[in-house]
Amino acid sequence: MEKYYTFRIKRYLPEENPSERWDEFRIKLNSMERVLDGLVKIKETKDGTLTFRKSCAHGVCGSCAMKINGKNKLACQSLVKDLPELIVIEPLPSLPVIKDLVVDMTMFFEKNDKVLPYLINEEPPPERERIQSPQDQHKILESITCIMCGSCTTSCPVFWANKNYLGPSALLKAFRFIFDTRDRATDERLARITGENGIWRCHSIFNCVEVCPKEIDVTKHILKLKRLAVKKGFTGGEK
Amino acid sequence: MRYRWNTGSIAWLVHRITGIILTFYLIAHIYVLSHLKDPEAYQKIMSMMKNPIIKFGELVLFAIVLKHVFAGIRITLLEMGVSTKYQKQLAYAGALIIAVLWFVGAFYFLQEVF
Repeated sequence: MEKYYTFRIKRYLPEENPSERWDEFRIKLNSMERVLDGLVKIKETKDGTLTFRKSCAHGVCGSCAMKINGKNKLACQSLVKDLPELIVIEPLPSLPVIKDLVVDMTMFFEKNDKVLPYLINEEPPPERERIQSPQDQHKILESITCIMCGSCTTSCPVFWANKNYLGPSALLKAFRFIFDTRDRATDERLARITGENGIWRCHSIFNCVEVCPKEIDVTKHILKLKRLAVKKGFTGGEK
Repeated sequence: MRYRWNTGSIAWLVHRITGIILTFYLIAHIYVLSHLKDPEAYQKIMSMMKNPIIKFGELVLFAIVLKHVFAGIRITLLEMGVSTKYQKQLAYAGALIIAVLWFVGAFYFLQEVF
């Protein structure tokens, strides 16, 4: 079933004056199509200057996260038939905008680096691989599914107010390695995330859980980290 | 910036606002208490408290305290390990208990006036 949808898109064109404006496009889409298809159609047929990130278009790469009708979502995962006729699209909140819907994710990835997002194990590796039991794998299974689209961190009111806050995404990454039984740098990571801008800034607002396209319960993981930090004596302040 | 509200963020905002109000209330409360130096002053202030406007204010304060207490209990339960799957149900259950307690409390509060 085909239907007309109005896309109201927040534009940011740095070389134009004024650089910010709202554009409206009216296009026909069928009920199987997604917001991303609409954006591609607009770019192809209405306005070639419209800029947005996309890659896989199947909810795996996490490139097309944007604010759709007031909530962060992946454009490739939002069917237009589930949305009202007027679809309002903005870039991810509180990150610097480069052009239109493309935001500068540098800040986001820097936070990720702060939690040492790689396996640290000084023990000599076994002949083939470091074995992990299925039970141990299940402890971190949910956190592994993160695609790092940035929806969670940019939906967090604490991050809006304090850009130094590590944010749900980086904390989830920390969880992924701290609770990995093959990893040995738990204390080092806990010291990094229990500082002034770490886990204690999380107020359990659940905005990140609401927006996660992979349906990860991020707050649950942060709360587990908090309990581990208390148990291990990392109760705040830089160590 | 506009962003869609959900149960968690509303619960957090109300918790914050009631907390700020209670901070100011506590300062005012201690200020009033510091004037209770002799039985005469005590009687004077207590008769002031019978004023219906003050009674109405007390009811509002009661609602704020209840809301703040139950928001705190919800967060404490979540931090202690109650599954975050139930965060919304906890918020709604809290709101229900607050409503019941407030009506029961209001009944006793207003009995003193009428």
